[in-house]
Amino acid sequence: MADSSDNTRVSTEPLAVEVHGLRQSYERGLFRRSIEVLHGIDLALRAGEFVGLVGPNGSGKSTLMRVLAAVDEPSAGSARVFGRAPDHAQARRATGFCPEDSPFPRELSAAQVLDVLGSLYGLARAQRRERAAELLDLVGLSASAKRPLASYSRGMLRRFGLAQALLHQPKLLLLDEPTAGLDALGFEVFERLLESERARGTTAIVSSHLLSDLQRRCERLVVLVEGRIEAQGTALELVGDLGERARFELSVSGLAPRELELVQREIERLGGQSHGVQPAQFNLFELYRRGRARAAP
Amino acid sequence: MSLTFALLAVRRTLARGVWLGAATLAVLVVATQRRGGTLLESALDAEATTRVGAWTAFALSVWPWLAWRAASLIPMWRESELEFVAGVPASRARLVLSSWFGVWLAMCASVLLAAGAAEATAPRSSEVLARVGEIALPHNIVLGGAEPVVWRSELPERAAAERLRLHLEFVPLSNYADVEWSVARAGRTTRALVRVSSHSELELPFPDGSGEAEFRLSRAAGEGLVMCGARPLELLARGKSSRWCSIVLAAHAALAGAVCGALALGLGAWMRASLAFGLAAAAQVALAFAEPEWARQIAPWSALPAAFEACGRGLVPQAPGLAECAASFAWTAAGLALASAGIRRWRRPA
Repeated sequence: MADSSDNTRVSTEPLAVEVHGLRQSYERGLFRRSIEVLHGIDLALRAGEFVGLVGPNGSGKSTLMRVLAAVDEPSAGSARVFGRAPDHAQARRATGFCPEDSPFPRELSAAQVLDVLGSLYGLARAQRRERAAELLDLVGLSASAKRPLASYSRGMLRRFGLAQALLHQPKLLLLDEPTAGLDALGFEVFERLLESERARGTTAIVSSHLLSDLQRRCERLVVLVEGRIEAQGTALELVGDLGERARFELSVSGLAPRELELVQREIERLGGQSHGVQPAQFNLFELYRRGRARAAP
Repeated sequence: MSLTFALLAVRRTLARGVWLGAATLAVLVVATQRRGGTLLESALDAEATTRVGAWTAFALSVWPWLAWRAASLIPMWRESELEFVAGVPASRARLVLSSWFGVWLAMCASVLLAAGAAEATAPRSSEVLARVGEIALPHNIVLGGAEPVVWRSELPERAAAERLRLHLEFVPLSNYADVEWSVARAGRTTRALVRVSSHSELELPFPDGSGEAEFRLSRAAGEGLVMCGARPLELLARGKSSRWCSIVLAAHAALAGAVCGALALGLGAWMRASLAFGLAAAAQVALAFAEPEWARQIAPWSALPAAFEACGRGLVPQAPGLAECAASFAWTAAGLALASAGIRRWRRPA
């Protein structure tokens, strides 16, 4: 740390993620036509920050993640992870990537894949076994640890994707559409993992095409449209920019459904519009939890 | 090298279908074995034919399958497991080396299975001759008329070799020709007589003494052209057991497997497995008939066909020499370098 002239403290630690003028293009078709997917992205993340990457399908979220995870090399511009190029061994060791699909050997069991990955990350045999057991327990896959991944459901594969990303306790988590295909149990696991990673001081980029998925979990949202950053800020800042077209959801507990009508009337009295009352997703989790508790011996 | 990653390659190369196929083949080979010789074939020849038959069955069916699987490994990463392998903090060389080691282990397992099947079909452990060296013959040794053919050749001291074997070809103008072969060295002469009606072999004890020996080939009776073909003069020694045929063949096959695995990975990193396989097969055929001779000698697994041939003739083949080991190492290194370079390519925009 160093003191600047105006007495503000300036961090000399490298940013967790630094992206400057990042462009990525692919060649497609018979005539190898070049298609640019990212058009000069600039982005910076402080260590410990949780950033949500939101955008419609095809907006370049996964491409950006793949560059940061050292899977692809950018066509132009630069990307740094903790001050190093993403494909530097130390940057790779610092990064945990949960890709959108499940690109793991499907003939192996979850425990075996974690063993292979742990060995490639340089973990000792005992350490990777212990860590694999701990993570599989955390994501609720202990009972299926010895089954081949080919027999997993989509939700189980997503949970396994989360577990493998955390295997080597990374400092940067890249989660590409982590909630796609998750069931209620998966959501619960995901929330719990994110909270424990936040407490550990991990930096995270979480992508989704649903704003509602990210606004609760991330302090900053980056809106990516057609390979360009359209806006960034907190959820309220972003929605505030929409003016009168902005809509908000109010989460209420402790009232009976008929009492909510009074709340709706009050909103209308203040000049707002109420678009209906519906139970929150949370209720579904509660119903599942109750069902599981009843089923347990 | 990562042993767990290598075991993944073993598992993929020896996929369930492959090892089930190989095991079935081994059972079939053992179940359909021939016992003893026939009227026209000695028991020793029958044993050699059966042994090499079992090896050939594996060489023609299981090994190409394994090579195909090996060539499919990197395309499989590229198509469906890119994030799994490309993002880990392991160098490309480590990934390739680990995979190659796994492929080689799988190939060695199939070689052991082949050796087991071959020896199970040839349960007799008999004394055999081992090929310990060879001497090139002068060109155009053709016995056309009554005139004998005489040539001189430097022979080594009698150290390992105990016998000399000469191969003769016959172009018939009558039913047979009786041919006498003699070797003179240090004032002593030994002779052998054979009736030639097709391909024949003549054997003599290795002559004592040192320095050059004089060889003489003459016709005693009959007509027709008798000539020495492309085969050299073989130096033979008494081997311990016919089981050494499979042991030495397995050593050659293990070296060939190392080269084959590396080349399959290397070519598979740059092209589809089918194209890689076709290219390798075409190159193999081209090299087998290549001129000049040195091109054939430096070709991958160039000693393997000769080892098969020696086994088929009831001889223990020559063990892999330094030159073969060096050539195998060079080809393996080239294949692995090709594979590493190929992995580098996938990380750039397509």
